[in-house]
Amino acid sequence: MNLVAEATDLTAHYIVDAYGQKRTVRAVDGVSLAIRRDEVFGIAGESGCGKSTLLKALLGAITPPLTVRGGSVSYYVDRQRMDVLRMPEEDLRALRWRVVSYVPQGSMHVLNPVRRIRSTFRDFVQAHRQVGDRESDEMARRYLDGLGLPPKVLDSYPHQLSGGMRQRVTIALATILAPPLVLADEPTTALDVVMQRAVIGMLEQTRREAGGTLVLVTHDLGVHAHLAHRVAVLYAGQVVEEADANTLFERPLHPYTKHLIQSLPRIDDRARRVGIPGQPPALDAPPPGCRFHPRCPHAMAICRAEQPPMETVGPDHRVACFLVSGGAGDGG
Amino acid sequence: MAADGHLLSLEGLSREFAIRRGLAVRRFPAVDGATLSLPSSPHEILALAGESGSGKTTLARMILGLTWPSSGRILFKGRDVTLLGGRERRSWFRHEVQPVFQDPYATFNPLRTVDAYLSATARNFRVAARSERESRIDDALQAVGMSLRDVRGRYPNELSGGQLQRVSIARALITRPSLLVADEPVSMLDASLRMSIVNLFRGLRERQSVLYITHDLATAYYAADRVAVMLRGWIVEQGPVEKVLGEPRHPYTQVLKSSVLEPDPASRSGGRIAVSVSETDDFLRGGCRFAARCPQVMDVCRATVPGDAVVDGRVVKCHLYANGGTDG
Amino acid sequence: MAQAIVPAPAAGRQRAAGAVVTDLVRFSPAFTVGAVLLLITLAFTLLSVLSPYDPTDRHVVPADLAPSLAHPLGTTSLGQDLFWIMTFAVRNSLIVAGLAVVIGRSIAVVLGSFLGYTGGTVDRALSSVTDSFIVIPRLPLLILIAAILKGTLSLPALALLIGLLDWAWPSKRYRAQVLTLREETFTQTAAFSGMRPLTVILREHVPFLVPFILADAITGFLYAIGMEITLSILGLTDLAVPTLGTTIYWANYYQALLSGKLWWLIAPVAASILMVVGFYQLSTSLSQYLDPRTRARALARRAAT
Repeated sequence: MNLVAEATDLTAHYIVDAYGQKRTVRAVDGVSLAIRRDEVFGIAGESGCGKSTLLKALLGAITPPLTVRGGSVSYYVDRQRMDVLRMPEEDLRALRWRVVSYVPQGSMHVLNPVRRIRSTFRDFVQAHRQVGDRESDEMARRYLDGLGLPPKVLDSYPHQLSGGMRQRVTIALATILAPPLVLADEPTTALDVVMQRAVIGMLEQTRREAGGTLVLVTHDLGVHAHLAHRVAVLYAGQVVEEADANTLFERPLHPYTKHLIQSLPRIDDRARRVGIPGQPPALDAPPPGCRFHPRCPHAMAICRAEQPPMETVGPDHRVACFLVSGGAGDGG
Repeated sequence: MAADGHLLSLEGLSREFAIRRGLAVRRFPAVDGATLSLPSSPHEILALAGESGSGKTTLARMILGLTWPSSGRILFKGRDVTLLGGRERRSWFRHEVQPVFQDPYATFNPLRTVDAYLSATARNFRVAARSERESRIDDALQAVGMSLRDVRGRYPNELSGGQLQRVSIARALITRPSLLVADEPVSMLDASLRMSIVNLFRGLRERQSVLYITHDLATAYYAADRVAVMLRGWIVEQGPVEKVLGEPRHPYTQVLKSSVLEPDPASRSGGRIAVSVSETDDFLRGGCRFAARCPQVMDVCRATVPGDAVVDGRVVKCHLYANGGTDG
Repeated sequence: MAQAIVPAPAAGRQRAAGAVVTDLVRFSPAFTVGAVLLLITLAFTLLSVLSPYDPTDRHVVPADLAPSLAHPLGTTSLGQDLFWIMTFAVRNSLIVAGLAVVIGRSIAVVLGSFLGYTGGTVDRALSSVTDSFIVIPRLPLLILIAAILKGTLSLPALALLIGLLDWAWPSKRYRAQVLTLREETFTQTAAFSGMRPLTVILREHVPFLVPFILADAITGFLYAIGMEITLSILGLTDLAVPTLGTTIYWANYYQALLSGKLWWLIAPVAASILMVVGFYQLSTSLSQYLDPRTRARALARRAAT
């Protein structure tokens, strides 16, 4: 079994009912993903597409008003299958940092502002290994050194470090115990271009040396191009296309993916580019049928009526689009 | 002071901030000796590019009059901006210079309708007779791909980020300003919406000049005519965009360019990038502020501040080119 | 994501005041309690116009009668019908507290806004003055001043006295609000839309301040009632005028507790407690409704059930 995690037909909504307003935000709607061992799996999508909710579900962090309406999330660890969404909280907590670790958006969520980095490392390491303070410090120092971070980082408080440095420390914390699954939520957003490169380099390096799977959630397609082996594109709570990175960027099939990639500016090319008209739908009132059809230049009658099923169109290449799979009826 | 034919002219502009280091208070210059200019004609788009902490936002705020310089001058159409009285600022300066802010949702008061600002702008700057005002507003909205019907009576949270940013640009265009100062106008928008707004800016060149602040070099290359690259308060390289970003001369610009993540797996590359541990440390060093990370650093760089040299049609602040010397 | 899913009642689609009130009535028990108590209080004070007796007259009815049909709250040792006296007492206490709040908070709003906008040396100087007013122990000072003016302290004068000592801390809060608002991007948009500073204050910032001031004013109201009751119980105000405090004063003077005339004490004390509780519930529920963070928590709790 070369899967490390899996989401099967996952549906998770935010249900809000108070002060006389009742709304259901369909953040994740029927998402299925198969994440393999030792790969970098990218989840791409813009704001409001549901990717943060998908991450929360993958972590098993479901708190009201988020409710799971259907489907499942499983981890495959130690030759066992674990049903993440139905596990009791204590079991889930035991898994965290040992089996699955999480790099949140904004490193200050992980770093305790009133403790030195060294102490935070100790907390993490000693929670899962029987080592003393001195050993833990040595482990941390060696690990940071191997990643190109200067030792004075350990003596510092989080606020004394630059944003990019903090982010790299957070990644080091998440990977020092070499968990088989690391989930990173927008690890490079709000960082400068140079910092981004450093963070990406570090993610590459940790994976190369310790193995393990990295699930990378970010709207930045440039990051996916540089790190991911396979990428799933999320739009309005659903996966519209999934392929290995080369195929996705060279031969995208879904109109959304195609237009998105074409609209990105590149250095050394001033040819005119065009954006996608309209805006992403609000998730509490998604359009009927294919959720992209209001903005799609190739929308057909069937697109307005039915949701396109996910179909395999090539090795490791799946698309949900009637244009690609040949919609029944050609009402135009 | 003679009108020198420049629309906007910054001369040795600096702005210092004080920070606490232990018990002492150190001053560090967020903007240090910035000199650049925009010609009166033809209109052009000047991109101000840099990372966070480079001083680009502080520079923009000084140009807009939202904060005072510590030293140096800002001349707009030959007049010193800091010497303007309140009334002139309101009637003349803000008629000619208009901002577009980064966050479209923060640009408008959530408790007011967006067309209130459009009407206020049209009314307060007397852009047309009362009967003509609405059509003027509608013209501005059409120029950004919207219409008065779309925004009448709407509150900010009823519009998307992309629409709101268009309204923000439309509002800035009502007075037909000579200069638009846009601070990262698309960085908070989704990727699928960005290009339409960037194309909008590209099209504005016919009527006005734009100072376009961004950290995204690819967008700068696409939209701008000239670019000034900022690092820790200095303008380290400025010139035509094909030259500066096409064949950068300053080591920092080269690092910046190679750091850009192209959405193209074929351009993957390895190599380590040096990153500073702490941002404020860079400011307080002597010599060149890039010395700690520069792949071509020399001894003189750590000791002396580099001067500006003209190299191949652009201005570079680097010891490599002092005395028109060695080419990289 | 959480920000996007919380329905915002005040911002955006300017829900009519009526809709806000119905929301609160349906979903906030605290608001209902407070609103009901407030309405009862107001109705009670309106009854004072129907009083057959002049409130300052004494010995108009037999003294010291326990509550009965003829005298629903009993009578006092001064020969007054306690029911009708209470209608005036509640009315006068409300008037004093209301006046005091208006005086105090008006000063606070004007001063706080002015300092928030002006900044610089003027702000620093006047803020230090404000700070020294904050540390003044108000109760002893009020007692001192009232004692010096003994007997001549009419209701409006009392209100003025309380109000003049209750602007310092609120003005700091308003100043803080104004400082934040001044830095908002939309303030700059307003400036570049050609609005003059005063217009910016009135049209951009005041709408944010009003809900805050309202909730804050109710707190001031409770403070003022408390001060009135305290000063009156100590006998420092015009004791001929019925207020909650003076009623308690006279009840103590004639040893109501010891001589079994409990109704004389229970009525004003119960009324005071009900009023304070009611207003407090109103204030808390209103603040909770307006503050996006507590609203989000309430939604989460509700969805979990």
